[in-house]
Amino acid sequence: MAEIFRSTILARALRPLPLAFALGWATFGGFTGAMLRSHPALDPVTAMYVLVAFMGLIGLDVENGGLHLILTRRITRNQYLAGRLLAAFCLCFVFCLFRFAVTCGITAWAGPGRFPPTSELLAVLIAWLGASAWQLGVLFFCSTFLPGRLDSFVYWLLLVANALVAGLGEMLDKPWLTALTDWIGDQLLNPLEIWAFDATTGWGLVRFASNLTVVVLAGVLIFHRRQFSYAAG
Amino acid sequence: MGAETAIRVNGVHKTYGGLLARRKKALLGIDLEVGQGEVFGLIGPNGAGKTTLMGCLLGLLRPDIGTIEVAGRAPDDLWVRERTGYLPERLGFDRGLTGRQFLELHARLAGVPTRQVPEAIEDVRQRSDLAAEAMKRRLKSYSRGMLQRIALAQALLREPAFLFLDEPTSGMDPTGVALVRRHLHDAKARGATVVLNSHHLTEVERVCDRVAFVRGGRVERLETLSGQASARQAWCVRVPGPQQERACVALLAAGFAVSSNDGLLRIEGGAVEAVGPALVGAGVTLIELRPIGAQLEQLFFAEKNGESGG
Repeated sequence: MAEIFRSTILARALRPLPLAFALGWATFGGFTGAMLRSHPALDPVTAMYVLVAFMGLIGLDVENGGLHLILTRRITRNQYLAGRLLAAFCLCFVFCLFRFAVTCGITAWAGPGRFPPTSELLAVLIAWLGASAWQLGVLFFCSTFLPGRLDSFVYWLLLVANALVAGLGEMLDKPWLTALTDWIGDQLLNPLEIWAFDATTGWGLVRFASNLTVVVLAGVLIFHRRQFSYAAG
Repeated sequence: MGAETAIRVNGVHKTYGGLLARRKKALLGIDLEVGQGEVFGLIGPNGAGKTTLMGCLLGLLRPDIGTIEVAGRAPDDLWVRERTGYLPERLGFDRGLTGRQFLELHARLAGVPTRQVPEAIEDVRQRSDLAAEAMKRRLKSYSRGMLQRIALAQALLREPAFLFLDEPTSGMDPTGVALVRRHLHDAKARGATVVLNSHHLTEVERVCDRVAFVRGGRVERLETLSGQASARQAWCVRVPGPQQERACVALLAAGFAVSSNDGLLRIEGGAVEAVGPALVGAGVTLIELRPIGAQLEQLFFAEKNGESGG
């Protein structure tokens, strides 16, 4: 598993292009974080990082045939999946921390009076981490059965299509359509709603964690059922 | 076969497709046994099911019916995988890796102790005739032949006891082909079991102990090379013109089917070792004796055209 973890870090973060993208985008995200001071359900900066940096997390290996070689080595399918997923989670974590550091730096530079309370800063960081973990989970799930980079494309497509239909619902004044797209949006984004810091916080955490677990486990199950041979077409 | 069985395939069926895709039966009851230390060839036309069978042997595909055992265990058992080397037909690696990174990854995955990884990489690099400079380059800059060599190098890591090679000489120049042949001989010499899937029949013939003709998802025929195949080999015999008639009689008496063409004799159906004594015994001077085409090639086309041939 350690080898897969290592190779994922190498391929997704330590090559010039991915590294430049991650650093540049995290710095840009740091600016937007300082400006927004909020934790929207869909944080576009995190979503963009996850969907670009980790597209084809499993699917690329399947498509290019590298998986055939890996799976004939002394490694189980679970170890392979765990290596890929954990490495991606770690990179997301580092990305969010770096972005958070940039946000804090810019906010402090703007003036001590503008520095938000610690709880709010923490809430922003947790929102980013939660969003990246969820989006990575969905990407992982899609990647276990979609070829190549289609995982990322399909997730984007669902998000955009849902937003368009929601807009259409509002335009046509169809409350049921708006409610439906709200519900779908909730499923697609799995927002981490724990900011009230009251009785609902625990429930929000359970909801988020259980959704993430289900998505990851579903991906694992699908991957276990798959058979890999280029002869299969 | 004689030797202890290394790979046992029992009644394996495999069908592709399902609810949405058209079902295609790829394997229709394959039965095989490959002996320990044997070099076993899989030959047959495209779409015969050879690669599917290879996928099943490697545990990448699960048979619908039937069982496969490698050293008495399931093919995806980690004990088996630790001792398996595989060279795929399609060389689809992460092309962003350098040659060294690629071999390092596979050395570690193969269980080479961390401290021995550089040594193991250097060993397979040299054995695969890859330049040291190539190790620093990304795989995307490699030619097809170099990719084949580095794929061969990763398959040879840890000197596997079970070596599965799918079209190993594809895209290789003659030195590469000779290299593969040398490695196959080395593998055989150290007692490794080799399964070779190749369309290069002359190469298969040179290195394999036995071959299976796979067609339509079935093993149509198992051939022990230098046994039955040799008996099917046609040979061209040149003798002095005046002695041709005597030579014909002697060869017919030795059990060969003989035909004459342009002053040359074409013989088949017997053991070639008997040609010399038969002609010498009849007082005929043998000028030339050479094989006509590869024996396996003849068998291949005979099988492909549906001849039983015994």
